[in-house]
Amino acid sequence: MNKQTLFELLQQQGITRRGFMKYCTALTSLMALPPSMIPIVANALESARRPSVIWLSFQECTGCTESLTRSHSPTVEGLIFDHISLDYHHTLQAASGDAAEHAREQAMKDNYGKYLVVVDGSIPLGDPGYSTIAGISNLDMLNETVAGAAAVIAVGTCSAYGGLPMADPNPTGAVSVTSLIKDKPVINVPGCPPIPTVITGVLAHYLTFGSIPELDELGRPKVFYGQSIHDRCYRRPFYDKGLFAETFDDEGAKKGWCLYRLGCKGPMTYNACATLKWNQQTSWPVESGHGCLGCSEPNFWDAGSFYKALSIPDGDYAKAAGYAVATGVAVGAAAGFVNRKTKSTAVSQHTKVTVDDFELNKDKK
Amino acid sequence: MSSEALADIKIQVEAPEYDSGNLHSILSEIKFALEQLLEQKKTHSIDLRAMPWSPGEEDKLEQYLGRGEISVELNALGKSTFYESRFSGIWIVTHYNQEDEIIGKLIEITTMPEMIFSQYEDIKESLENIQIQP
Amino acid sequence: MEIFSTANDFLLWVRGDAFNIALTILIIGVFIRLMEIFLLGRKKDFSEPRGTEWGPGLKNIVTRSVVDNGTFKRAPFVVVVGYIWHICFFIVLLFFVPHIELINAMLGIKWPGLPSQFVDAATVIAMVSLIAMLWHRLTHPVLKFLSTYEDYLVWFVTFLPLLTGYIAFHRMIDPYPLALGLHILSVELLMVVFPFTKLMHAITLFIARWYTGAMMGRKGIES
Ligand code: SF4
Ligand code: SF4
Repeated sequence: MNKQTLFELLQQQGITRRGFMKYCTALTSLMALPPSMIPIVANALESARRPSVIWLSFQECTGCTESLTRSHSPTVEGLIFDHISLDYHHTLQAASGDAAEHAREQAMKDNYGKYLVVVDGSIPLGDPGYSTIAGISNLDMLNETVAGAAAVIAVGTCSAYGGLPMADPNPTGAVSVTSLIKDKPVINVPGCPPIPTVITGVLAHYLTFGSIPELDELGRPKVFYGQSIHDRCYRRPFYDKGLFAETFDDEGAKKGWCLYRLGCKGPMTYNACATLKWNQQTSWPVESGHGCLGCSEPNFWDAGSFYKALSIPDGDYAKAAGYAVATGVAVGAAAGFVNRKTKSTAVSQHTKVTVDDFELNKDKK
Repeated sequence: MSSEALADIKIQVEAPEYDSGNLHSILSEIKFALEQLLEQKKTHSIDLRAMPWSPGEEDKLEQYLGRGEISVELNALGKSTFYESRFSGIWIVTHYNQEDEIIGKLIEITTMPEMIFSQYEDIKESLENIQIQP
Repeated sequence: MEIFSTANDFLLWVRGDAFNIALTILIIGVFIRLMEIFLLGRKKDFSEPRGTEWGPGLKNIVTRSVVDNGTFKRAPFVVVVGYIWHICFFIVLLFFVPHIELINAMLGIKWPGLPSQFVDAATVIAMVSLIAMLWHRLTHPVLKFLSTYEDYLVWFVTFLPLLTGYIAFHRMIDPYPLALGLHILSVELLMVVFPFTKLMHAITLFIARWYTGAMMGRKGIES
């Protein structure tokens, strides 16, 4: 089933060389590679084989899958049914129950050592019963499935970094995929949800080159997560000029000024929203007038209010300050009285120097 | 949602009254590439999707480049349009998928986009298929 | 040992617990020092003074900011560079918008900020003047003799926030949360050291000037 190369498959569908080149152009753009790479992509695709993909959904909200199915270029149906072989995805697949699990096992057996595992959602370690599929705990299913995988793609902030389930106080003891899988390459594709074209772009990279793109220190592909939102934000000139919106409907907001003061986390967030945008490149959060939440960063749920500027500490500093003032006054008062005592003792012990005290010297002279 | 329905929503985007620098940098790139094309016959393409456009900026670029004498439509895996801008050697290429959604948009600095030529692979196929007596 | 698994964890910590700790130490420290000064008190004055204390006291706080000619003639370098340093430092501290946001969140007051290019330039000038002052301290024999380790510590903790702030603003360390975290941490170091070193002059200078002014404003015999 996976023996055919992608090119042969396209040829069978009666797609011309032009069609193939067009496909390569779209794919190159999707992978965020420069157009000069189109011939290389075409070359690689001629011998590329459709990888088998097993998609595991753990503690998640299905937002990532929803996002994926809104990926437009090339259409997700095209990508899924023609160019990868999605053998297991319990939300999207028709089969259910035993039949579904059987499909997973079969795919693992047939493609042992070569298939891709995509994970969305975090894994609860608190109690395996918090999340199970077909009676198998998430942890067991992950370990079992990943054992024969070529690589793992952690889609969404939950599987990449723990995400919402891991947010304080982390009731289920949720952890990320990377904290569990140490012996296989893991590609993190964070975002809440990730940009759909980024999900497909990463899949396309694996499909085209059969390799893993260059990753940053948080395991994210550099082509998509190499630059911060702030670096590519079109409102940046306003930030530099010191022009900020202070409410969501003031003059500054209407003029499109920078949203830093309204809590924009763009400066610390690495993602591709500013270029790839959302909804068929219609717009993106900052363009619609709302600050970036930092959704592609670890712990973003715990990083304080979405509407507080990044420079504001997020602890309970008012309380700390209150206690500190009280303690300071008390200790200071004590120290003050001790000093006073020292001072008055010094004063009382002080003997005045009189002319007589200098007599000795006079004599010597 | 199809792109048509999106376009139907009458929203007015006010172009911000400042310069993000995007137009300046892309036009410089285009101009440099045009020089290279003239002197060394070197072609160049720019992926317009990779630009951090501000609202309305991309339209502004297209308006400036305008439309020239020639346009071509291709039908392979959905529609594609190629047209030369009012500046000779600068082509605007848009690829759509079968659902008419844009899947690629480029500016090509070339005498003619590669894809418009008949492709030798396809010609070979034609040769095999063509029958002398139809 | 894995204290912070990511730069974000580190940033979270410096913005959270570390800030609270630093703030607590700063406030306790400052209050201890202030209470010590105030409770030491001055001798009771039994005679009735002519003139008041408040006016001249407050006036002195302002007027002493102007250099007197003698000092200038004796140490023009210290005066000029000292002024440049302080002015630039306050521009950076009080007119960079992220700083204003912090002050607003903590004290509920705000004012317009300056474009970042100005703040950036002020940062560079402040750093250069600090380096110049260190150089002066190290090359001037008398100054060098008089300097204690505290002087160098104070220089260091003052310089660090400027440097890390500059690095963070220009995003010279990757990833940014690490750069920003280092900047905030360096400020927290300054906060902790502040009450227990001569940095405290930023507060005590007002008290000292007021006392001097008040004494000068007082006319008549003191008993
Ligand atoms: S809106 Fe956000 S990302 Fe854009 S310049 Fe302002 S702070 Fe940076
Ligand atoms: S703008 Fe920020 S919060 Fe919004 S989707 Fe992009 S990375 Fe996530």
